[in-house]
Amino acid sequence: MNYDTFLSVCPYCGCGCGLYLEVVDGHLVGTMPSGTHPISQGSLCIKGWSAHEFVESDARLTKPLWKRGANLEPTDWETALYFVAEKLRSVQERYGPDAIGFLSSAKCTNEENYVLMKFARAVIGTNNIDHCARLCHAPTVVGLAEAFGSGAMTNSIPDLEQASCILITGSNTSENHPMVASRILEAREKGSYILIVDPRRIHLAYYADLYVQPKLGSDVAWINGLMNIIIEKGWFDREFVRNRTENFQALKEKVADYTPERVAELTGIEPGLLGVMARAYALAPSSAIIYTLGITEHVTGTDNVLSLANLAMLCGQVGKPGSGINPLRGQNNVQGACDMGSLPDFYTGYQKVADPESRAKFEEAWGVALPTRPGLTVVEMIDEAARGRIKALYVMGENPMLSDPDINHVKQAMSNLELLVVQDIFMNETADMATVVFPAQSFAERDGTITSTDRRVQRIRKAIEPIGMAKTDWQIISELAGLLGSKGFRYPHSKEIFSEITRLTPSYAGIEYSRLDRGTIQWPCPSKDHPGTEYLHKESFTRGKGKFTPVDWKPPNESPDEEYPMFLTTGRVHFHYHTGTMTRRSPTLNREMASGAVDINPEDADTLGIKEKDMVKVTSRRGEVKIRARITNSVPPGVVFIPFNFKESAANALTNPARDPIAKIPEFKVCAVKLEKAQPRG
Amino acid sequence: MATDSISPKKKENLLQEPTIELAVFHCRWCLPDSARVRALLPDQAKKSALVARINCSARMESELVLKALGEGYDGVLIIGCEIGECHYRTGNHLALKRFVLLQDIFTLAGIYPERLGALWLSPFDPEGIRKSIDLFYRNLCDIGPFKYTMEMRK
Amino acid sequence: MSERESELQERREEQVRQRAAELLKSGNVGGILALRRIQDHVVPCLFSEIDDLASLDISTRYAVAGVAERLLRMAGEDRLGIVARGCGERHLIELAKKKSIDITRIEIIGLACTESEARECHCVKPYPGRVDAGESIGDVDFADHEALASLLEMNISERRRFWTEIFNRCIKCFGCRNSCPLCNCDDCRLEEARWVRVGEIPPEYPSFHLIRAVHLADKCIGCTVCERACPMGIPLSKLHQLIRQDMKRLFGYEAGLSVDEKSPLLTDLDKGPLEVTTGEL
Repeated sequence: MNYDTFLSVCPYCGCGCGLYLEVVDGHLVGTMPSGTHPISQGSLCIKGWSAHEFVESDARLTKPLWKRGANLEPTDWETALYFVAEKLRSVQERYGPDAIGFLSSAKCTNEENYVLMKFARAVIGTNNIDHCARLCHAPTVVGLAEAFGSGAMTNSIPDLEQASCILITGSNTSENHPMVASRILEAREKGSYILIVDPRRIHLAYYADLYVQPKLGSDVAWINGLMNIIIEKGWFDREFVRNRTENFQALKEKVADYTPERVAELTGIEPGLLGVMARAYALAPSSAIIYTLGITEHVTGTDNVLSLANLAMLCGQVGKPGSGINPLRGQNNVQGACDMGSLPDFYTGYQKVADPESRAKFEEAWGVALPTRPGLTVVEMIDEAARGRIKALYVMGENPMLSDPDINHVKQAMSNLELLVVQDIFMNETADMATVVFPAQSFAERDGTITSTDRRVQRIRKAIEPIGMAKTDWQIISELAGLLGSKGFRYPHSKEIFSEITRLTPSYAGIEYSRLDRGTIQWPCPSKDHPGTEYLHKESFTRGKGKFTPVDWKPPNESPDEEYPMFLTTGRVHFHYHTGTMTRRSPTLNREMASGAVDINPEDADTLGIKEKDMVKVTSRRGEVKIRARITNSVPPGVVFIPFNFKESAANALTNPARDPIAKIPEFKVCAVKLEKAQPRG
Repeated sequence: MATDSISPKKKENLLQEPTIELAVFHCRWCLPDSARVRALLPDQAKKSALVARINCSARMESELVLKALGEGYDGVLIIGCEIGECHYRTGNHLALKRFVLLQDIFTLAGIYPERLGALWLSPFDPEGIRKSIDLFYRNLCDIGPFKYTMEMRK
Repeated sequence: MSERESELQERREEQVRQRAAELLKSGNVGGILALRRIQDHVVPCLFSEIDDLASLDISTRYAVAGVAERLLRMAGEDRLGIVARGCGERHLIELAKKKSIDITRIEIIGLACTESEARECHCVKPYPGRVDAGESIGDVDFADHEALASLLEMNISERRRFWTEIFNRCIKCFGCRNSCPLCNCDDCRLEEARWVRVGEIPPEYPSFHLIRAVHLADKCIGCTVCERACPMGIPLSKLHQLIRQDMKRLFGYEAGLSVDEKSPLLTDLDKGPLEVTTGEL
């Protein structure tokens, strides 16, 4: 009898909880929280406690699959790899490298993200690589890079306990980032002022000192409104503004337009409340802003982020403990995927593709000339595939058929491709359409590093042998590279890949596996004796001075009208993770929630004659969905909420693909729908 | 709680004019006919009460009581045989001990122990039973409804 | 830790290792369940080689009794050595009472807690029946009297408000149940939609928390792991402690002391066995 435990990181959200994988006689039997880990501190959420359940599921992909007729048939690695290599070479020759697109994975390790983007750029010759951050925090990366020079969470999860005021907006924290909610509650016990601004009355709102419910899509208005009051009353940090920022005058002029009365009109927030919010945030010794997709998933996502950055800089609430701008990243390694350059316009560490010096550095390291033009984003790649200009897509650990907006359009685009390669651990809606499917290993079967939301680099460790014929993602790509004639992918172990990464990435330069065995390290960590960085922008911003970017409120792309009289907003639920490929195969999580429901306000339910658990038909200009009703006060009248995790009631059949012009993120959070009670069949 | 499924107006009404609802679990040996049990309840409680027959008062577990309270019943009454009269000899011993423990835990958790009542019957005395149930119910009306009693912060 | 304290710590660890080595050598056990230090962290581990014992560690506390129960179920007829503190032993006794484990298959390596360890856990009995390592400090009273008193001083409405507000934080992680060695039912009632509606945050009140509290009334030995596992800071162990006090007061019963002492909820009013008749129905 053998009993072993391996320290790894939860594969679900960006909190990055340390947990032990319990293995008995080579089988994964359970998980246990790590008592000494800075994030989990002896606790896990239900997903973390169930993280082992999907790993040895019977539904795991165990063999490569190849579609030669109508169906995907099992084959061997040699055949599958050879076919894909040949096809890629063929598409590249006939249509050029930019006819191929790569979707990388925020669930795969840093090493795997690096290898895929190196493959795309050095072997295929295209910058068309992107990943799901485009659908969640792209505005964060772009907006904070603009304001501070660095797009990452400025402070750390443990350090949030020290904030004397916490402003939480667009984040259903207790359901989606429980370990952060845990810190917020601890801060509250110690007397911190908790301020929650969210169009939905989220679970955590019960514990707020002040909960405010603005209209959907009105964030720039209330944030500018806060700054209006703060500047007028002189509550801003004059010294900070003078010494550490630029462009204050333009900001001052812009927010002068956002009087409390105007803000009340645009947002529905009473002028009195706005004053209370402003005072609390500005005058607290340390105020932290926490936000997630309620801020970013709008056509004004980048503007929303820039406004929050303006607010923080105005009050000098950056660059000290318990403060800052804290975007909570979704996936366990979406921060890492961004750090590794799985982005069309960046190499690792946010070194720009368009910058000749950075490009020269990577060209030297990799020994090839690299494409100069920044590539396409996720949603653009789908559009180009629909237009027939992208002929091949390589999808690693992503499921755009459920997670992208307007999925009917995605389906049409994918049907157009000459080659669709999917590399994953389970079949999913995208894999169903693939030409070739490669079976990959789960987090429990391999070594590597991931970077969780507070820039925390940590190790995942192999606990069990691979299932079936599954290979690690980086192994598969390396073999393909070899078949295409490249010699730069001969890595004996993920450790060597990581060393290569650290040589090319200044913020990761001081991190190595031996150090990671002794604990987590938060980048920037520029040298081997540097302890890592708990909070950013202490003495100066990454770009030098912080930049104020005045923005105006713009309405959402599609608002209710006569035909579609209600707002639809979408999001997640606690018990499932994103498109459910892993969680819907975990018995504990499935038991809690086997299907989705549309949240309807009791008043609206009464008007429409809908009762709890009734089937409802929800229609938008893009499509329709049949889903059962859940009556709750968490949504205000006129708004309904549908989680996107369930394919049979896919919220994204309804959502609006309209995008933020800069970050290209779709407006998942706002569109117009109509509801009616579904007619029973028969 | 924060995600109550009734509108604030309805909740206001409920708190203004609460209807107190009973859940009754009666042992099949001392009082087998549920319809008869229902007839013994006070008039206001008769229609909406949950009246369920169980095989022995020992079958009354904490789950039944707590779920009843969670579902909106404001009090739970168990009717079983007097000590010495149990068909299974000592089933009601267990029930009595559980009853005592539950009332105690209620008190610790802030739930009025009077929400849980027990009638141990020997001879069938309808008037006596009716009076006891009435007393229990009136007490319950004094305590008030279970579900929406607590004032929410906002 | 002061120098003296780390000396004592090392000595205790050495004593544990010695006893563990003895047991392994004797061939009497299939392995020793204890904690192991791997670089910066301490994890539960099954030691089967004497050489590995060098990495055995006692610096933190894990409720390994739950792991033990699972291992014994999978281990055929093997016996198991376990490094157990006072709480660990009481866990095992309660599990044996439930017939979840056969206590004769267990060889306890008793570890007595130091005063600071006992204080941290609000312990009253920081030593097991048999002490192989450390020195027992005897019965003490480090219960969190302040917290308990403040709860008992509240009137019933205040208590209702206190617990409802606190339970409202719950995100149904099941951490309390998962980390408790005594919560080991195959058909856990908390998972049944019949008793606790599924998919709700916070979980259904009062079912979720109070079903657990009632079920553990005669089993909880006060180890406080449940509270440590709760991410939302719910003071579970305080409620359990109050219930334990009342179990003593109402029934004269204390859990975890002896395998032969039956729970009062499983005996008749004269402390005899509950009758099961197969009489006519």
